[in-house]
Amino acid sequence: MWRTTKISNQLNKYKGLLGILPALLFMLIFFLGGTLHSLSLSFESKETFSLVLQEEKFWAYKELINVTFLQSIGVTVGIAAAVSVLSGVTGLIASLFLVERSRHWKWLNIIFQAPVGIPHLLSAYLFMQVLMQSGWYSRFAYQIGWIDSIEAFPVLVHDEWGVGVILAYMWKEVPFIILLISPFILKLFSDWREQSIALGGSFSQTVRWVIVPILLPMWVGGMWVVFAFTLGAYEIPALLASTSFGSIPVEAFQEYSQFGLERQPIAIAMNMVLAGISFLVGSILIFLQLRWYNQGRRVW
Amino acid sequence: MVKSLKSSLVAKGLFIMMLTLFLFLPFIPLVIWSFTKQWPWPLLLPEKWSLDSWNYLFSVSGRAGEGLLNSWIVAFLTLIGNLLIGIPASRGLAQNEFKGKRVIFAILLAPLFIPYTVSIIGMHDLAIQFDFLNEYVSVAFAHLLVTLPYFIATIWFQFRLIGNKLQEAALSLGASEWKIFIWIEAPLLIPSVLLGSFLVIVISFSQYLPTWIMSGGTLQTIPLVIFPFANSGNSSIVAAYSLLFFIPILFLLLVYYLLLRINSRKQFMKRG
Repeated sequence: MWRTTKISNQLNKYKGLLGILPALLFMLIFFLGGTLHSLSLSFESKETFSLVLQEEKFWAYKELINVTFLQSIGVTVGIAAAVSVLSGVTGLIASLFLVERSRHWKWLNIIFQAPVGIPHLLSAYLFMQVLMQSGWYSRFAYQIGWIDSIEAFPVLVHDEWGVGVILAYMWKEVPFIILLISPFILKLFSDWREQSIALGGSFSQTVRWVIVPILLPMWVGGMWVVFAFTLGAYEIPALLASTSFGSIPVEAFQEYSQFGLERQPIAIAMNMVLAGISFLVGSILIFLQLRWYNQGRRVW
Repeated sequence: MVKSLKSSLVAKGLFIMMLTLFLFLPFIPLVIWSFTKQWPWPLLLPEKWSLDSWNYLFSVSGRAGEGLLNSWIVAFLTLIGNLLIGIPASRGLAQNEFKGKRVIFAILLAPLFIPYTVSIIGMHDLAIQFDFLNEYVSVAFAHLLVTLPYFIATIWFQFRLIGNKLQEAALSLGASEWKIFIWIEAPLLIPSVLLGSFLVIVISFSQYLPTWIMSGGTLQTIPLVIFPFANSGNSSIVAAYSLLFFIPILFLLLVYYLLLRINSRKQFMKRG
């Protein structure tokens, strides 16, 4: 009897691991394999029958080395970084309030989390509707008397600085961060609040010295998800940014969908650069996280 | 002390109010726009109301019915894929400790952390070579890639909460693996499977780029139907489409809460 349970335990162990296999294979084949296949496509020569095939292998990447594209990288990464940091901070503050207040204001929870279910395409459209110079906010400003003509309202859509883009992203990502971290903050509060009160800590001290350090890995992870998503997303900059804004996903999709098959390697190369940046940022974050853990700060 | 407390209360109130307005206000003009065709600038509310956009939506050129149907088919296929490969994977990850677990976890969650457009371009090229694949199926594969990380993370978390104790008790009483799954784990898992499925369907509904790339722009799901209108700036029609988009999401949310209630009523054991 003892033997059989031991054997069946062993078996169960392997069975459990077997369950991981389909998902793992799926990701390896389609995510990794797809990326590698794309990579091989991007190495294809402009004219496959040309004799200089070998030398032309990296032409797509060589074509990207110019000032305009470097500026585009700056703009895209800058927007993604701004969105992730702003959403991360706002989301953290908001979920702290929510946890403090949620028993009184249940409806706030609903409003603060509703945008998660709404597609980015629609968030872009919503912001176009309210932020345009002829939009709803400008009507408000006129009725209140802040502005006296349509031109007096600041240009926020198709503008130079991407204000509309950032706001539309934040509208989606702040609720995402709240959804992600507020259950954990709730749990942390129920675990640590009394102890920190007993030790004489105020609310803000509890947040600063207990909540934030424990939550940090997850919070930063959430911001990385936002960063990676914003880096690769198409809908919002396509609708809200001006055509010369230089968002790489938009440019890449134009290359991909409008300029024919021979420009496809360029589109892939552009997206590859984005994936590379996200990978790099992620590696740095993981490195920092491991160092953080090695200092003995790991709580769960 | 009192003064600073007061000012911090004011700051808090202001912050919450700003955020609430920021999140909620954009919905209002959307609803208004869908019921009017003309709404010149300084007016806060239009003078004439009409149902034209809603009528257009369900006309032949509006393609709303087609878009909805396609979106549902793809979302349904994506959900099946998630259930089939997501649940065993999260179970395996939550209940076993082994070397390299972190690496496997990282691979499974990779699409969250690295933009996936490149791999979908690659998948599309592969799918062309296997051209027996149905359009719906190949798009669902792309959506599966996008949604699987969310699904696995949700289910994994619940498996961690359930723990191992009940299963060990059942095992020592002679239950088989399948019996344990069906009679112990599945009932405890229902709330998070519902949440995960809700996420999967909503995310699948909202995909624009993966759907476009994978189908070559031919499979008209709702986002693909809406995008040209949104770009052309026909406010009224886009507003109606957007609301049409919310209806299935609200419906799903309703179903989710309903199922959750039925489930919690049936369940005498507290979860977690």
